Amino acid sequence: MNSPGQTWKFYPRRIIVEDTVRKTEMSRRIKDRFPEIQVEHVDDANVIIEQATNQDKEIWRNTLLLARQRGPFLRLCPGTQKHICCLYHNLDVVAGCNLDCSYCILQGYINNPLITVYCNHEDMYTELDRTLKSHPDRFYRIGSGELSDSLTFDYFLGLGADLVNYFSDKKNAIIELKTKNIHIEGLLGLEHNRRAVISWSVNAEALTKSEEALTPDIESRLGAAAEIQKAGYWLGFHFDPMIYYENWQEGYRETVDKIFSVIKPENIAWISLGALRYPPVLDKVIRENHPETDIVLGELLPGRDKKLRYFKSIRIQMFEQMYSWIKGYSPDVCVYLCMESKEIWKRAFKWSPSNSTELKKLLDERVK
Amino acid sequence: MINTSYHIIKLDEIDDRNEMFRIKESGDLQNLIVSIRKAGLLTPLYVYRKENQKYRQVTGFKRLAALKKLVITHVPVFIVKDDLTEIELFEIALLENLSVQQFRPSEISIIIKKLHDFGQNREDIIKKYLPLLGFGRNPKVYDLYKDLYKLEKHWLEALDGDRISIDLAFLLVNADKSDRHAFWTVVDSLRAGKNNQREFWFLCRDIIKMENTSLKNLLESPDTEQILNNPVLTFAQKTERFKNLLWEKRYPRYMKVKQEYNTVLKSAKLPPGLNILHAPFFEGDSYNVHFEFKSEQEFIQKIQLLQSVSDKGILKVLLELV
Repeated sequence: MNSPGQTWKFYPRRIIVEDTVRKTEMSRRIKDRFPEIQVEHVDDANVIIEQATNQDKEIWRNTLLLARQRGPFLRLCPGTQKHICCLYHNLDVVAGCNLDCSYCILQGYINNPLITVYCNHEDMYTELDRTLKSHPDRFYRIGSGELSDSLTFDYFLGLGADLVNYFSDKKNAIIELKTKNIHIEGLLGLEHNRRAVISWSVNAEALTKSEEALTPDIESRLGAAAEIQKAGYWLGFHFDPMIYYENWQEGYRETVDKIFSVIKPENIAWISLGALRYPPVLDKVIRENHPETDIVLGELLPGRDKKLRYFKSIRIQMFEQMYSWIKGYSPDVCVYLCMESKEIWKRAFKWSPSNSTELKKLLDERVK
Repeated sequence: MINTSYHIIKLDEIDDRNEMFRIKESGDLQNLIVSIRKAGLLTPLYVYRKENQKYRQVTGFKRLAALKKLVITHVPVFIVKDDLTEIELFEIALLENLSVQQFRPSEISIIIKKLHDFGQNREDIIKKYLPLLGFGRNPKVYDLYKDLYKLEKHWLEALDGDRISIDLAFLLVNADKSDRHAFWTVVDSLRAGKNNQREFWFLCRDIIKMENTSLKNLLESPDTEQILNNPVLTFAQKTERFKNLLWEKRYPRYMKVKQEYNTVLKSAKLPPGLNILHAPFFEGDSYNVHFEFKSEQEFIQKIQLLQSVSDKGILKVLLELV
């Protein structure tokens, strides 16, 4: 699946619309994009979610559910206990992903195969307005890439452009669109005022082939990133999850080299590093969903937050090496660790933020 | 209500080779024989007849076996009169068995298999029959039990005897026969408890993938055999050593550091009741001192010992291990 030139476009088999959102702009946009699909309507999206949870997953694969977000759209990233976190906010506007990465944490969070698009965007913007206005002195880094890939459905959702436009005049917030895909067409030519960071999750090429089989390869992702650079956006790169394998040094070094061969360091808002980690319950899910993967055979042991993580010395070695390669290209690039302890920061980077607030400040300052 | 009529028929009118509706093995007949000898057969068998063939049993397989042992020639039966379908007849067998005792895991698996044989699908079984067997309508229960009957007799006996868990049985039934056989040697020779069995299984599963070998090769390797066949070790010691061996293979870096830690700490010659403990899996940079004392003198003595651990440079080595 993973070869250059593919379009990695999701095509829905069914579209089911909850009645309360049938007249929303997003709902209309999606229906117009797929006029050949007979749209089904339901009173309550939860009934569909329940059915999709309990029935054979194949029946519901590639089903788009257009629903109302009942809870808040904006949510402080839960982070993880006893570790330094960046105090990021997640914008839960789409739930579900089509890329099927073996390590994906969503396999544990979302136990149905639906792609749910929350279409009550008026509520979302009202909530964002209220939050940003009520705390004008607080800076918000907000991302839509927690429960989905921010851009993988963007060729028909156009949500990326909506969010870039919304945040373009915000003084105390920035939106990060995090993706492994290459659907950036909608973002080019917008007046973004650098209030958006377009980020790519990247990995060693061998791992994109084995663990991210439905995603574009690294060169395609970086090709898209180069276009985004031309359009003047901030860029971000997330080496997360880093996976320890036999030739990890060559693999990761090559990806770092490729990034800096096309992206200027001054356009990089941040690069994050995070080693493979997941709650113990996900171990079984990964083995069931991806019996071919070897990632579960890593030396993964329970950490202080009970999540399985690589043995400490492995993490330190990987982070230390990556830090030196990246800093070798540019000492000014902001590199941070996702969900790691102060001890690991110090051992790998020779310095550490004193707490989560300090890390937040560091990242905020980068893009304010 | 089922339409039946009561009769006394000759034993040889019953086709005792037909076990279509049998759920339980007859097992030990002795108590039943004593009971029949004393009070006669208290509960008649349910039988039915197809055209002019012999009667076929719906219930009472064990009772029939006991009657034969007693060389009794006539038996009281309820003859099912309705033209019932096979699944309806099986339900009679099911309900009669349920009224007497709970089913064992292997029997539940056989019931599920027979329900399939009688034309019931997965959904029917989950919705209608799992509640009858005392479960919720949970597809996971169905998946867990449905193939267990395929396990070899010794595994089924261990399962029914509560010596292995249902989870392990599920894992075993999906494994190769040769792997099951090899794993039985471990379970049997270590007399391992359920938690250890499960841990061993998961460790072995990963190690054979990491080393590209088979469970049979892993468990018949000289390292393993040396532990399992060691006549000097107790079961508990064997279990501990075997577990250690598997951990060394599965988590080599962690186990190497752990062993170094223990070796260095051993060189400090701390007495019982005084220990320096690392964080679980060395996650975190803090250490704990476990300290027991019964008198001021012992307190001072142990403080001095701890100080000597630092003075001799042992503490520094411990802290720099990982």
